[in-house]
Amino acid sequence: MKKKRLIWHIYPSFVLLLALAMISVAISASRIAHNFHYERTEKELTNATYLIVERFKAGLITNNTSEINILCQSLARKTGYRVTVILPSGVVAGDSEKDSATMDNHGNREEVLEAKAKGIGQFKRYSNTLKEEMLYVAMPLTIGGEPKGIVRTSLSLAKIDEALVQMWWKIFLAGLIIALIAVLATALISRRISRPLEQIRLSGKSFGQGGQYEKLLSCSISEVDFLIHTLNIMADQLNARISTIKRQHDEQSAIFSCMVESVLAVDGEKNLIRINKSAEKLFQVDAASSLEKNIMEVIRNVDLLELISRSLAGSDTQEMEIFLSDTDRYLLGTGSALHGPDGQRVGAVIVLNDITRLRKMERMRRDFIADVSHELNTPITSILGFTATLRDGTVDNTADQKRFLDIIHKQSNRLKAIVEDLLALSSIEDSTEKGEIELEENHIAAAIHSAVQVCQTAATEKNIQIEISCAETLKANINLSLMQQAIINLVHNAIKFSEPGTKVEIIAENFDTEIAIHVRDQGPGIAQKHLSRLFERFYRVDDSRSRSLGGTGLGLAIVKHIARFHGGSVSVQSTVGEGSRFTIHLRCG
Amino acid sequence: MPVKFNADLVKLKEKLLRMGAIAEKMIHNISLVLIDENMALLDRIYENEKELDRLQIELDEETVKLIGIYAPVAGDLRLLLMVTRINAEIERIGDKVVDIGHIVGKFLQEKGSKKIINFTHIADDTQGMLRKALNAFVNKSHSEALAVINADDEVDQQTDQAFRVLFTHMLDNPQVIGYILGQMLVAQALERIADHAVNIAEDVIYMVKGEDIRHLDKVEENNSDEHSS
Repeated sequence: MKKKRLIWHIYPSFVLLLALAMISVAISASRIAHNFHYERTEKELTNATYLIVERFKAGLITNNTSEINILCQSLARKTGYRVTVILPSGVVAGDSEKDSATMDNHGNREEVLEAKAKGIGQFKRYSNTLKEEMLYVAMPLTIGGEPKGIVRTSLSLAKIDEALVQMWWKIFLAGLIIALIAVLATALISRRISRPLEQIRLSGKSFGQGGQYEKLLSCSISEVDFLIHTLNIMADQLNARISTIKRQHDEQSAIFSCMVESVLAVDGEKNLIRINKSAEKLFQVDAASSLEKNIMEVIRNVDLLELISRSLAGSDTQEMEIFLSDTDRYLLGTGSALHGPDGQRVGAVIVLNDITRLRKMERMRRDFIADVSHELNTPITSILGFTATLRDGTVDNTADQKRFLDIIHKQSNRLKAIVEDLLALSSIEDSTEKGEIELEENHIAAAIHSAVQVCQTAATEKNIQIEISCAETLKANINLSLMQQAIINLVHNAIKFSEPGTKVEIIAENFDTEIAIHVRDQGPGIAQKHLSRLFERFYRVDDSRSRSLGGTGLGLAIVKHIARFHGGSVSVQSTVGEGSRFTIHLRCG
Repeated sequence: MPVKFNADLVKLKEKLLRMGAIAEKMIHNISLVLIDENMALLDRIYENEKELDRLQIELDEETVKLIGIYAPVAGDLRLLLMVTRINAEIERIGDKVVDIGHIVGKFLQEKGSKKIINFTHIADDTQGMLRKALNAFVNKSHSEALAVINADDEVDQQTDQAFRVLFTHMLDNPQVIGYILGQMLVAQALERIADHAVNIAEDVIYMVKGEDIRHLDKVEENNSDEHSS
């Protein structure tokens, strides 16, 4: 349906009503006017006939046609009526409008017949002579009891109709003026009604577009005022409800985003619909740019896709291990279907727990057992081989026998070193757990100097210079012999991997909250990918090389545990080709 | 284009990316087989390869159907054409991974034979290239695709180096020649996978920019091969 403005609803009915009223007024008015006019004309005509009838006495007596004609014409000029004189025979003796000689016999005209019979004849009919509607009044003229003629006056009815038409025109003009006034009036009325409605519209529009609701002022039209009142109440309630929803939403999203577990949700088409902060970090994606996208475009992982597919298809909670190869993480994913308000499946929610540490620990333990058996096995195999050869007695040569015994001795020492290191390691771990070893305030410099003394021989052999930079007064809570061991291990490594002629620096620095002991070499450096695993037991950057240099693979692990025992930590910085710097961080203060 | 077309396109892309993800996983699994000798993963790799074959056929059928129904033009048409091409590359990557699996089964299971080459690096780089190529496809990124093409040199160099080391070993230890040959084949297969990743990146560039850079690159590649051999 076509929408119209309020004014166009009011105005046409308004005008129609007015028009109907005016037409009915006009019709009754014209009828009254018409009758009144007609009666008066008839009366006037009759009176005039009475008055003029005697004037024709002389003419009729003499039967002078020309005199009668002249009289007719002069009377007609004065009164405005048509005057006709007819002889009793029906012959026209004189007429004011036409030549009487040419006119036909009027003896059988209705008014004439009536005048003859009743003494006065009145009739309204079409005049054959003048070709128009006329009103006739005829009266006989009797002289001495003998009818001499009939005098007839007549008036054209067209004149009456003309007057009526003029009246119609006036009524029409008045109607037009009233219609114009009606436009103004309806415009005014409709504006009064529509102005508050327009305000309601604007206010509702701004509210609908999420803006603030402006309270509507009351209005003088009671119906509209009632509407405004209802709307105000409705807006208040809506506002209250919206703020409740918003608060709940804020709370939920705060909980959602602060969860440690990574959570993401997808819809039935596997498009990402929600993702929390933790998951964003885990998958290195940005929520803003990845929402509403297919999960495969955001996180391309087969395991995750399968978990999602299964969650979307199955009814139970699904569990699956997911491996992220690009960041080397293991996740335990739990997925379940999301149900809409009417029970149908609308998506799936996936909760991911990072179990990387767990997996790595498991792997480390497995590796450790494998490594220990492998490390112990190598020297034992060699010892067994050589002792078997010697026992067989096939080697007579004393020089060879001595060489074999040397090897056995060397391998036994190696075995002993490994076992000692392992014992040291486990005793440090134990003590750390039980807190058995005591810490005393000691000079750092003392620990460094005694460590360097131990390593000096090896350094001199390779022509490596050891430089110490440490304030003699620097003190910290340490276990002297353990700290010495840690520094020895670091310096030993530094010497072992450095080229002859280079130097090794030991620098102790005192910061506000920690003391850092750096051991810096100018060796070959260590590639970035090894750094994270460097302090693991038996981890070797270059297996064959390290072993030929006589390492047990436990040195750095021991350093790590000693540092941890002191409540500190150990770190490494290294650039391939430039050298490495190992640092023991000790807390102080 | 009608809404339905876009929805179908998203589905198609999902399937292609699923193939990519499977291929990534396969490369990762084969590297675990090579490095940790986790032979149990081989079966999963063979299953994955079968799934890739199945997905390839499905994807091709669906792409042909989409082209037939909607008669797409310009960017959309290029995308659909490249979907079939990338799809083929991924399937071949799957085949190569399976090849490596067979090689491992044939040559590399001799007990006590010492690992000469650590494939961690080459495998990681190759997998990284495939991942980045697929990222470039998702993001429709010209620059990311170019980065993949440039990364190929690194893998080529690593392969060359592995070959040199293996040659030396072969001369010293003729008794383990089968094992060394196996490692060579593995290195070469990994290098081929990297080449497929490069092809995907080239397809992405064609898809994004509409320019075909394949021949330009092939010339350079041939030159570098000649230098190295």
